[in-house]
Amino acid sequence: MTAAEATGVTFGAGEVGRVVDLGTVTVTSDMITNYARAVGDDEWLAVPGRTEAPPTFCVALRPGMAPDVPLPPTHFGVHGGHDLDLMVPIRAGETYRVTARIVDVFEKSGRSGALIVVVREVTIRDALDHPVARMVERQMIRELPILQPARVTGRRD
Amino acid sequence: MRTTGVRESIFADDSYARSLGFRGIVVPGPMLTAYLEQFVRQHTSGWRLERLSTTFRIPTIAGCALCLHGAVTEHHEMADGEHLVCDLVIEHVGGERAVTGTARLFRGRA
Repeated sequence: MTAAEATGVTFGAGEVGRVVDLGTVTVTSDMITNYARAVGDDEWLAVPGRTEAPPTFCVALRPGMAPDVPLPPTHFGVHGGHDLDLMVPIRAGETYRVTARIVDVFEKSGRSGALIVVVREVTIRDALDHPVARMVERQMIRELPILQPARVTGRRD
Repeated sequence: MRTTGVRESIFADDSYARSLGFRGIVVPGPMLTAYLEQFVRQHTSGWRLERLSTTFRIPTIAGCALCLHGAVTEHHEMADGEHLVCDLVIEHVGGERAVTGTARLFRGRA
């Protein structure tokens, strides 16, 4: 039995590799400004009227880890890292299509025990269907820690 | 914005994060990537970032001081311009390596 089978993290036939359309988004100046504020990019914010987004803004266009992988209640996932390929700057006023697919699932031994790694590829394309950014993301799925017993306090009668 | 309106509450709920074994609210990985990109940009004026790869090795907890390091490991001159490759690290105070990564940049011929 694989670690994935043992944990109940399962994938249906055809899920690995299947491209999922995550929709389109029209980028606005406000979205770019809010992103720059959120990540403390004072250098970006110092130039008013910029229409070109900071390079890592592309990560904000994907709706979390997608396609989603249902996890059993005994496990949770964390972000293990990503590779960003940045072809063309993302600009305010432009509309982009986001697609994603699971490209790999494998088991690994980490510092805190056995892990399942889900690898996803997210592609962002412009209105002419040209790729502007590609992200390969790694989600690490591990077992929830055993919770310590709750300390019960109450009135003593 | 999805960056700040995350659904997972380990990024917003201290109690929930601690229930999962973290020491407090977790800094989202993409935010650390953004810090690295800004760091590279500050030191490579005139270069365009083509690729940024990061591995999140240990969780960074909100309030933790960070130290960013970088080193140019490759420089290639091509017909259309130059490429740089840099190794990048984010360390917690105390020396723990939280994030490792590489950046590849390009600068065209004038």
